[in-house]
Formats: sequence, C-alpha cells, structure tokens
Amino acid sequence: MTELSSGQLDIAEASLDSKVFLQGVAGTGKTAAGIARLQYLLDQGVQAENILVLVPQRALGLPYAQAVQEQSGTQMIDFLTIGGLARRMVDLYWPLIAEEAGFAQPNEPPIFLTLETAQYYMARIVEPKFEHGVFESVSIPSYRLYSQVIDNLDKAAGVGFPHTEIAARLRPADLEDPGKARVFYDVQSCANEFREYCLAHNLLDFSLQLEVFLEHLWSPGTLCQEYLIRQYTHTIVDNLEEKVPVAHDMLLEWLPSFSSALLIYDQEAGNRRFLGADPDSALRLSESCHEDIEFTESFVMGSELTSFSESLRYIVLQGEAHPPKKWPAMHELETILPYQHHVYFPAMLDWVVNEIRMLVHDQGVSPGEIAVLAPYLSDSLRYSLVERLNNQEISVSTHRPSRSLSEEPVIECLINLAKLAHLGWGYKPTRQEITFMLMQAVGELDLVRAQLLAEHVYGERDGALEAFESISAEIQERVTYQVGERYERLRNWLRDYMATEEEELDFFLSSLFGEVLSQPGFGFHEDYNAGQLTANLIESVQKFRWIAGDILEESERTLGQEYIHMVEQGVIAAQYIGSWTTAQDESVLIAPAYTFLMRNQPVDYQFWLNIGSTDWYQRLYQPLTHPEVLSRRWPEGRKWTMEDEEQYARESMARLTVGLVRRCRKAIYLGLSELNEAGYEMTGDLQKALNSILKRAPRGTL
Amino acid sequence: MTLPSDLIFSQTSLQDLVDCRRRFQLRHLEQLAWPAIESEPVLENEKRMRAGSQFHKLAHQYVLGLPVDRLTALAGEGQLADWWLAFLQSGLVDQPGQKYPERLLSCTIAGHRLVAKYDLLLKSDGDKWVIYDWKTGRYTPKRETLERRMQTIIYPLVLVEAGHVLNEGNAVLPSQIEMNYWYAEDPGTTISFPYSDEQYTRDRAYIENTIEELKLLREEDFPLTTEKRRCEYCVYRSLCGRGEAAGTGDYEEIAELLEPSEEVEIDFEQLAEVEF
Ligand code: SF4
Repeated sequence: MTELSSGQLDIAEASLDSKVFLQGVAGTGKTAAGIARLQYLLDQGVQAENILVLVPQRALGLPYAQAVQEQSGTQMIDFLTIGGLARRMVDLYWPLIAEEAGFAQPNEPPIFLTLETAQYYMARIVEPKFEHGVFESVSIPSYRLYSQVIDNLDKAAGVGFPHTEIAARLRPADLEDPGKARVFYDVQSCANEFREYCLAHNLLDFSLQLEVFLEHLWSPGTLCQEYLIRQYTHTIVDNLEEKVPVAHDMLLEWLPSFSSALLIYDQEAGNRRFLGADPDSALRLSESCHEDIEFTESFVMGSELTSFSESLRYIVLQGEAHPPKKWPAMHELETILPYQHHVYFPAMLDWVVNEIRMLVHDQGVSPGEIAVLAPYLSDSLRYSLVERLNNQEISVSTHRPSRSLSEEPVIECLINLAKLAHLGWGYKPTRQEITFMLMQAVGELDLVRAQLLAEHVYGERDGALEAFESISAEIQERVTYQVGERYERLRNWLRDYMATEEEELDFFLSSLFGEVLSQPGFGFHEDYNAGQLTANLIESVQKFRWIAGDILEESERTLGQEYIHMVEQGVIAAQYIGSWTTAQDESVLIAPAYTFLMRNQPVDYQFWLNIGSTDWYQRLYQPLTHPEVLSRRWPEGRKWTMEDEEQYARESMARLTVGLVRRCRKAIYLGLSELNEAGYEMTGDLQKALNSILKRAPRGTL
Repeated sequence: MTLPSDLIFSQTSLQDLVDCRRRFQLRHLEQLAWPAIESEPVLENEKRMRAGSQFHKLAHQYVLGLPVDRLTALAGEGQLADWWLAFLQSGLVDQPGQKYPERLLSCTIAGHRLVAKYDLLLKSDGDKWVIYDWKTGRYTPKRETLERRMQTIIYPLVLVEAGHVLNEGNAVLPSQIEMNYWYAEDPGTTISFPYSDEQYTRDRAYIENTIEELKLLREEDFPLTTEKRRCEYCVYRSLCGRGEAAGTGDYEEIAELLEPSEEVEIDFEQLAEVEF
C-alpha cells in the first residue's frame, strides 16, 4: 500500500462487518482510503467477485481496477454504475419480467437504446407534431428539444416519481408565463407517447431500464435480487453524492445484506445535479452506517490555496458559508493566483501559452501537471490553444465529450460520398461540399486544385461526377494527372456500386473506406485519426440499423436515408466518445471545467480562461425541464423565482470553482481579457468575486 | 520494447501475435480502429454473429435458472431455435455440479495479465473441472487445427493458474481439467481435450516465452505475415498494401472470425457523457 494517514488506515482496515460512511471535501484522501480498503479486503481473502464497487461513471472506477490488478494477479473487480447494473440485470432477467413490466413482445429480446437512438425515436414522435403547432413557442433547435423531453423521463426514473407527473411538477413552478402551460402539456404527452412506443416495441431507454430494474427485479424474493445479494457481500461506493435518489433508496435496502460497506461522500460536490444527482438524499445513508467519519485535511492544497478556496466559497455564496479561517494575503495571492490583464482574447491566449512554455521548458514542469480550463470549450478556442501549444512543442490532449461527430471534416466527406452514391435519397451535395470531400478523399489535393476539379467534374443539378478525361487538357494538367487517376478510381468505385443493389449504409462506408479511401495514395491512408472517426460513424450507423432497422422496414425511407436525415437534424452522430477522451499523462489537458472536475485528478497548475464569462454559473437554457423543480428537494407546487435562479447560480459557481481549487496543488493562472472570444465585453460574477478577494488583500483588482 | 503496463493478453491477442505480428501491433499495441470489411458476405456473417451472441445469452440464462419455456420462446424460430433445441437436447448443462457461467478468470504470466472468459465452467461432483465453449460458426474445424488454437492452450492454463479463487483457495490441478468445444451446427460433436501436468508445463513455458520474446522486439520487428491469405480476412489490408476487397469463402480457416467476440465487454454508462 502507498503511504496512508492513520485515518485512512483506520478506514481501510475496519473490520469485515463494518459499515462506514466517509465524508470530506475533495482532496482529503477519501478515494485513496477506498482503494486501500479494497486492497485490504482482498488481503483478507475476500474474493474480488464478491466486491461491488459502485462509481458514478466508469472512468472513476479505473483507479480501483488498477489497484486490484497491481495487488492480485488473479482477480478482476466488478466496478459498475447504477445504470450499468440496471441494464445488465434487465438484459439477463428479461424473460422473467418482460410481460409483467408491460412490454408487448415479451418473447422478443429487449432493445437497449443509446442516447442518440432514444433521441431518434423521440424525434419520430415529436417531429410530426410540429406542423400542428406543438412547441412552436419554444425557440431551441429540435434535437435539444428531444433531449430535454428524454431528460424529463430520466429525472422521473432517477428521482422516483411516475413519468406521467412530469408536467404536473413543472407547471406550478413556472406560473408567470401562461404559454408555458401548453408547452408542459406537450412535453407530457410526448413523454407518454414515447413510453408507450417503447413498451410496444421492446425499446428501453435509460429511464425505462432503471424503472424496470427497480420495480421488477429489485424486489424481495426475486431471482435477480437473490443473485445480487448472494454475489456481492462487500461494497465500496464512491461519489455517493453524484448518484440519483433511487440509487440511494436501493442502497438503503441493500445495506443490511452486505457484510461490509464503505460509502464515500464528497462534501460540497454534487456536480451532476443537472443530471439528477442528489447530495441531500445521499446523506440519508449515513444513518444506516455504524460510523460516520469526516476527513478534513487536504492532501492536495497548501495553506494558501486552502485560504483562497475558503474565501472564494464565502464570497461567491455571499456569506452563506463559513467565513475563511484566514483571508489570503496579497503576497500569497501573487504566488497562487498569477494573472495579467489583456484587452483582447488572442493576447490573453498568447500569455497563457507563454506561461505554460516557461513552466514546461524553463522550470521542467511535466505537461501532465497542467490543465487549461474554461466553463465552455468552443472548437475555435480548442484549436487556437492546441496550435499555439504545439508550436511550442508542448503536447496536448483535449477533452470535449459533447463534440459533434457530424462536424468532423472526415465525417462530412463520408456523408457526402454516401449522398452521391445514393442519389435516390434526394440529397445532392453542393459544389463546395464536393470540393471539401475531394480534399479529404483524394490524397494530396489542396483547396485550389480541389475547387478546380469540383468545378469541372461535378454537376450540382444532377449530382453526377464526370470523368476526368472529359475535362480540358489544360485543367487536367493543372489538377495533375496523379490526382486525376485517384479521382477516377474513386469515381469508378462509386459508379460500380451504384450499378449494384444498394447496401446497408454502414457496409457501404466500410467498403468505401477499405477499398478506396484508406488505400495507398488516398486521403485516409495511414491516417489513424480518419480511421477512428470512420469507425465511430460506422458504429453509430450500425447501432441505428440494429435498433431501428425492423421498425423502418414499414417506412418509405430506407435506413440510410433516415440516418442522413437525422444527422442533418443534429439528432444523431451528435456525440461520440473517442480515444481523445483519454488524457495522456505527458500532455497538457485542455478541457471544460466540469469535465476536469469529474475526472477527479488533481494537477499542479491550472489555467482558468474566460473568467468574465457567465458560463461559470448560468444554467443551460432548458425551457422544457428543470433540474431543481423535478428533484426531491423541491416542495410540491412551489414557484421557481428569480431569487431561486440566482441562488442556484451562486451554488453552481461555488461548487465548480472551489472544486477546481481543491484539485490544484500549486497555482491557478487567471486568463483575463476585457473582450471575449466573440469580441464582447465581459465582467461576470466570478471576476467580481475574485476582485473582491483581491481587494480584501492590500493592492490590486482584476 | 516496453509493453504498456495495462496490456492484457487474451486468446484473441495471442492468436493475432502468432498469426501476424503486424496485426498484433496494430490491433493491440496501437489499438488502431480500421473499419474495413473483415469478410464477405458481410450481412450473412453479421447475422450469424448476432445469433451467436443471443445463443450465448440464452445458455447463460438457462444456467442461472430462468424458466426454459420462456427461453425457448425467446429463441423464436430458425437458426437460433435449432441451436437452442440442440443445446437443450445435449443435456450438457444439466449435469450435476457447481456451474460458473460467463466467468472471467485471469492470471499473471511474464508480468502481464492473461484473461480467459469461459462460457461455462463446471465443477462436477467427481472434482473434475470441465470447460465448455459454445461454438456457433458454420464449420466444425479439424481436431488438429483446434489443438493448435490459442484458446485451447490458454483456457485450461488460466484455470490452473487462477482456479483457486473458485475452489475455496485450493489449487485446480491440470489432471482435473478438460476442455470441451460444443458445436451448435454439429450438435452431435463435442471436441474434447483432456489436460495434464506435462501439457500445462509445456503450455505455460510456451506462453511465457511468447510474451518474453515480444518484450525484446523493437518497433520495427513487427513484420507482415507471409501467409497472405490471412490478409484477405484482415481489416488492415489497405494499410499493409495487401489488397482491397475482403475475402469470401473458405469458412474453416476463418471460423473464429464468425464467432461472437469474447473480449471483455465494456458498457458505457450513457448518462455520464450526456450534455442535455
Ligand atoms: S493485412 Fe496481413 S500483414 Fe497486414 S496486419 Fe493483416 S494479416 Fe498482417
């Protein structure tokens, strides 16, 4: 075991029939104690297969898995999320419960929906209603509308109220706006219809997986519950506060059956509240444990950062927190909070990169100890930073889980080729799209020659590609014969394909990739990133086919056509998890602040960008749902007021910023610019809070 | 070359290593996604693989004690139903003893984790440990082909190394183990391999040497296979300059390709990555 404090050792070596509730703020060594506990259990001869490690997302289970691997050559730990557990059990015990849970086809297997396929089915239900004026007063893109109705269903399942009560809970909170009553009525009817559709077709979105598991499998005397209780005799639950209330309910019932339990609770967290996490609900479990232990000493922050974090929390919460034990002095702030004023955003980025360069190249700091964080990470910001850092020969890894697959040039190229090969679907790429497609597909082709080629071979009206030899010799020469030869290979391949029976879209893409695009000379050859992106797209199409294929057989649209339609609507291929989500050890991490928080790995240095932005605290605009009003905390029928909104914003900002400080060992660099990325002036509440802390120390404002 | 510390060996990766070093490098060291067609006819192969997965699940559910009539109803009609009926008729899983369905075991060899996922481990009342592997491919391979497959080597080996976790801390001896392949398309045939101390010693040394040799390789020591037929059924053929279209036909050689993947399944928690 690595060096542990006596408190951690006590937790790790607690008796094999102990039930411990361990709480503390981030950085106090709770997870390390959890890992040590796991190792201790194994040392004591408990089999790994009998230990259930529950985490809010899989990445947070990896330290536990690694510890087991190091400790024991022969065991593997089951680390699960509540959603993962529910899905696994529903899949296995489906034949027992399908009928009683109301599924119309109990003799057919269940179909588990991913988020994007759930959105697809929601789109099928909602889209036809648009022409009848449904949601006409809501001005958000349709894909966000679908996802918010789904979010309501997930909230109902996670909080534990019937999905038919969504509107009844949302409506009273928003009484001011009479138009909203109609909107909530529409939300409810779409949610109901979606649920009925799922039951009729054996589809299980996340909410239904959870409900079916809890209502039909997690009941006393069921084969499934007996199996789970027999299987898992010890548990370690980390980040209990990030789980939904029904997960806490289940653990409350399960707790007496475990021989031992360690429940770890991060105070001041609850970063997934917007997904239904409920820290207050989690605290109920402390009463069912034998011991409630609190860790208070930070293993991460020094005393200056500790004072700063306390001050920040106090200021942001406007006094609704303990005052700091000590306000940080100016000379301390200068060390832990370096900053420089800039008017323009690019100048601020240059400063950030220069500071990183000095840390890495002059002071020998490992790039893995640096994180550049912003509340929202736009593509252009990500690109600017990556480019600047790469110019300084500093490696970078970026993390932006919500990045859209369909916006990638490689994917646009593939989609346009699919359109060209299936003109019957009714999509004709523009000449500009063909230009970019050619640049990607036909290797070594610059923009000028791609434009020239597209102009002479592509007919926008009929969507046909003409032969290279049909264009004038002069143009051929300018484009080059080498390019012409590759273009012809691509064109012939498409022509041959079009002469045969239409294939499924994923098979079409796979063949096109393998037989042309990744062949020597073509754009994707030896391009590992293009391979990964194409694989992501193909997987998305394949899942779509497996899940929607049967139902679409009755439709006029082919599966490929429907897929492209949904991509254009932003419903699918909108998110993906790629290899870039795994931060490399030796590179600077560029990530949205929340992502960094949930990754839960402290670094020595942080750079905060867009300090003046309101994104540090403002709620995402979600007119069709509400994380607080649908929570268990919210009193029935109470109105959501402006004061509530402000309070919510303050709490969010305190959680986020203090959470970041607690994950920093040495210093936080503040990237300050008067104008933001888009050129607008910005002075948000975070900037004001930081100013206020600086003002309390002698000298200086931001 | 230093291998990544988290590199986990399995029958699939070691089979790749002995079949083609370059494939091992691309697939397991670089983890390169290269989504070309593996083998034709692609739709038919996919159907078989999906049916194979469903069959494995039914077998798992049966061992867990779910009612057979409901499982039979789920098997529906057609290929899957035929396999299922043959499976029930075989009575293999009705034998008395302790059963471990879909069980993952792992051990450490040459400093690396080696895993095996068993369709069914049966500890019979006579203290025998029988490994069952359900095969749903089109052809039953020859015994000699099967004998050389990494799966036949690794599954009993891992059970000896790690079986004590299922055996109240007592070692599982090679002489107690038998490895069985059961073919759903050819249900009368179970190909069985008894195990012994000698075999275990030989296999262990072989796997250890294979991994140790791998550690000595440099990046440029991962040549393309000389058996070019393999490339017809390999997604990396465009990278290696080994042709364009995927191979069709000779199913026996690619029988393993058409089995459902036995890699450890990772199910992503969808909520974790959602931004509503
Ligand atoms: S294409 Fe052939 S040489 Fe290349 S990795 Fe595959 S099997 Fe090996």
